[in-house]
Amino acid sequence: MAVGVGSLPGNIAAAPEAPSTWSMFFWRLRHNTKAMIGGAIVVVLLAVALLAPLIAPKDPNDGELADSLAMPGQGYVLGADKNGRDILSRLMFGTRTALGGAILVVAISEIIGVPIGIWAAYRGGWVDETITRVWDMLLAFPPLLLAFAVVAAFGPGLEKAAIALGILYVPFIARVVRSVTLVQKEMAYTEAARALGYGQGRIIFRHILPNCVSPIIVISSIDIAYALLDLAALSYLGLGVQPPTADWGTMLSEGQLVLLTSPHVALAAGLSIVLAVLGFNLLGDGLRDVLDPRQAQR
Amino acid sequence: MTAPLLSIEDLRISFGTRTSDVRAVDGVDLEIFPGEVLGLVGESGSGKSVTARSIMRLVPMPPGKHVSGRILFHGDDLATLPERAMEDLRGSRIAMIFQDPMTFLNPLFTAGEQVSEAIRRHQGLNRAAARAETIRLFREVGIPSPEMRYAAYPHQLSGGLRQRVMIAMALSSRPELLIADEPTTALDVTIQAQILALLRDLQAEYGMSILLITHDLGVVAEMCDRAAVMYAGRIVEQAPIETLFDDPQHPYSLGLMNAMPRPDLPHLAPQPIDGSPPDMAHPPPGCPFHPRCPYREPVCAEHVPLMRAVAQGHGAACHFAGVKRFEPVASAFSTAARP
Repeated sequence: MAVGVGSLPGNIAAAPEAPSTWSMFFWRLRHNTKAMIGGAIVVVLLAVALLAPLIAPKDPNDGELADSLAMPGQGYVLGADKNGRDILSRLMFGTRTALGGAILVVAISEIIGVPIGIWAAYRGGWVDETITRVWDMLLAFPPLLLAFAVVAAFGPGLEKAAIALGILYVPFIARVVRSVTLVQKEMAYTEAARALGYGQGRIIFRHILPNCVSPIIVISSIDIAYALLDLAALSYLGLGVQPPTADWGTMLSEGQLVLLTSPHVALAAGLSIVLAVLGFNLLGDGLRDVLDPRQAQR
Repeated sequence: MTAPLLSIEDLRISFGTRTSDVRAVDGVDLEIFPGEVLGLVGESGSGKSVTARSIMRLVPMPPGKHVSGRILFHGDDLATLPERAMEDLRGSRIAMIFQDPMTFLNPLFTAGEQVSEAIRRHQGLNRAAARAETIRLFREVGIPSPEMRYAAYPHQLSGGLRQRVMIAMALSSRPELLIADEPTTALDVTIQAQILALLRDLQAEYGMSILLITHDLGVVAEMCDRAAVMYAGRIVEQAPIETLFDDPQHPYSLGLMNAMPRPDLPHLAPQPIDGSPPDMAHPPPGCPFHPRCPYREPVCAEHVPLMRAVAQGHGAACHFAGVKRFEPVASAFSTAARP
């Protein structure tokens, strides 16, 4: 479609309208199997988390002791745990703590990590050296180990565990942002922006940050998977979500006690964790291919 | 004579390396007068881009180091001006266009957005007014279908159009001085001619001065009123354009002209200058050009020649400027200035 060509000087034919950035993005997304499968899993999980009170067949915390460890079928789709609580309902409510916690972890790490990464790269020199040394030190510890220490100091709980993990995840985000910024900083258009008299703030927020967005999206999706796993591990060890709140990690540890007689309890929680981690990982991988086609290997 | 718009006095810039300091700019004196087009010519590594970037203070420091010298613009020394004041100056009173307009436009924003951002930054117009002004500028720099190009991303534009966008951006604030760093090097010859003609027209219309950095003597002959030839971080000759081509007083300028292909005189093969530019970490003693100079004498290896005037507005930094005859093989100006 030509836009207002009639009023223009010269007899230049209007170029066919280029597809918009968004439609290109969605076209590539639709043709990326990994992103579509991962995205579908993530969407289903998010829907379950949001709609849990409406779609859960039973109250997740209301146990019928007579139905303790009921097998799947028998009035319970996925059976019941040792307190006679409906496993399906608990899984659905567990989605809320799992996703909510993981998203909180990644949000905290981004709020801190993105500015730190940009600042380190943009300032360079000793600022960069100091910051990267500190996060190299953080990276040297397994995140879970440090999370144990934090929980040991401040007591267990989902929020505390999420904050601790969020801070520990900062280096993962910050170093990606730093490396992207280092490239952007040397780009000719950053120099051109300086030649136009733009100040540091405008250059960082208007010209460098938008170029960091796609790697941030990709790393977030993958970090959510890691956070989910780490939070489940903390809960499994009794350091995260506290009973009776429904959570996959606690369900897993409860199920472990009866693993030989009633494997469905642990299996349901374990498979949920696997599914969620797989979904976010696939989505992250797929998004990376979609957002950076040059990297895509076929 | 009118006062210069910008005067550079004894500018020295060096770059620190692990082993030694490389003197990229080694005592440059240069004046740019209102309304003139000054060409700064030299081969790669002669310090011409560093000189231009230091006017805008875009030389990264470190590793760059401002050793000495003043850059006076309306009485302000740009070498010591606070960064905030410098930001207000850049892109408004002194603007710059670059070699490769692909990489100098941000790929994430449309051409129009980038120009209107510059307009809003310096003129405080609102969004709608800045958009209208951008489209007017696009039309002025000869971008066809400006309304459509406003929404085009840099990768959707050709090299020539991208350079026109850069020019529109630079002109948006009606600068007094436009620094053009090899503006046509990345373009093919026909587009090159169009962009040069555009710059010429806009220069006359806006009455601004242009500092044109290039290694192409043809571009200099076509565009400039005056030219300065740089070699090894120094200005070795400065002259009005016709004088420079017809009566070069520095052997290096002469060498550059003899190295130009001469389609009009096919029997004259281009003669390259022997040797290569000096290692600026360890420049030769005396005149930096003497190891390559066919006219050298013992004195050249001992004393650095100072710029000496050979005529009104014509100076050369050679011990034998005005003494020896440096004869061009044939007048270069007529061929260099393409129709």
